[in-house]
Order: sequence, then C-alpha cells, then structure tokens
Amino acid sequence: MEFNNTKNGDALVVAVTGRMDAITTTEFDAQCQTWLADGESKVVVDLSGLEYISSAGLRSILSAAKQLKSAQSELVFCGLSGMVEEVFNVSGFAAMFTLYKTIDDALAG
Amino acid sequence: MSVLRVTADLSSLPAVREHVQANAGRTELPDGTGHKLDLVIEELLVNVVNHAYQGDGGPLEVECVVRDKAFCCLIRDWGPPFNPLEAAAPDVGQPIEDRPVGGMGIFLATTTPDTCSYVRRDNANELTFCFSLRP
Repeated sequence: MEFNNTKNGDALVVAVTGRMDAITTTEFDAQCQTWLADGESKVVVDLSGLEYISSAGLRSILSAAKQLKSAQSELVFCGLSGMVEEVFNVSGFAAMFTLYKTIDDALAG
Repeated sequence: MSVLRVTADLSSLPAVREHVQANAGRTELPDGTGHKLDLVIEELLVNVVNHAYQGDGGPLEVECVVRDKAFCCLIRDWGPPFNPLEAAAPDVGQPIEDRPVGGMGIFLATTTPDTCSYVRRDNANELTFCFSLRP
C-alpha cells in the first residue's frame, strides 16, 4: 500500500493506492498516528487508487476515525469505486462516514 | 481440481490466494469476481488463524472444484466446531463512536459469495463457498 500526501490549505489529502488487507493495513495505522501527531484538523482520504479492502482495512479505518474524532479532527473519504465501494456499503461504513466523489468535492465540503 | 494444505498463519495468505486465483483462472467467472474471491479467502483464513487453534498454527486446507456451473472453494480446519453461518450479523447502523472495532470478517465472508454452506465432517469444520460461472 502506498500513501501520497499533499497539503491543501488546512486539509491533508492522502491518496492511498494498492490493497488494504490483513497484512498491509498496519501501514494505514502508522499513517494515522502521524496525522494525530501533526495535529491535522482535516484529513481527506482519496481511495480512487485502492483496489481492495477487507475487514482488516475496515478495522483500521474505524480505529482511525475514533481517534481523529477524539482529537476533534475531520476524516472524510473520496473516490470509492468497485469492490471498495461495495464493502463500504455492505458494512454500513458508507452510512457512517462522509463520502465524496472527488478530492475537490471533499475539500469544498 | 486441487487441494492446498498450509499452516494457518497470516504468512500463508499469499500462497492460498495464488492457489485460488490460479484455479479460478481456469474457469469463466464474471468480471470483478477476483477481488471477491480474495476477500472471502482472506476473511476465512484470518478467522481460522485467530480462532481455530488458539493462536498456535494448525492445518488449513483449501480445495477448489467446479460443481453445478459454479467455482467453489472448500476451506477445512480441525479446530473446535464453529459454523460461521450461525455467527450474529454485526449492527451496521451504529455511528462511529458506538460501532465496535472488529466483527466484520465473518459477515463479509458469508455474504459475498453466491452460495455458502457449512458441515462438520471427520473432526473438521468445512465451509464451502461458490461463485457462479459466467452463463
């Protein structure tokens, strides 16, 4: 899994590519710790390059969301497609989180 | 088709994935089935790793067959009796603060395939899941 981070005003845009599974998901956990340490107030996770997610990935995302919420930070997602979008829908994560189509939508929101 | 026997451990996941994808590749499955196969395999393997042998390694078998116009995988472990189809579905309507971390694996594994069945046979848990071939 790869992370490409860019700062856009107050928001940190994190483009995630690859697969989020039981083996790789610890990388997302580590990323989240840096967002908290850096005091990021808004994190936009761009999942357009993510081709696969499993329950391990959902666990990491939920854990990150709880921690960022406690730190009064905003976490939103954009660019979901394919099986990632399906997994978000089936698991109820699509209803739990704010999802945008594009990065621009997420930054404007 | 063929049977792969591995130790139930996260490090076996790539080999199990490859075995299933190689067998699936010899059939005609609808577009997008590949990722769904990966998902079910991962969730079932992780469940065996975490629960069947109390964290110690133990054997896991993955058998791939084509039956009734479907590509099927049989996952076998020799842990205590456990039927994933009887596991309670998670509450998917909770907000972030209340939603417990975890509990999605079995749910995704049993709801993603076209069919899913369980049998306890010869001291083993045997879960069979199938994806219909392209018509």
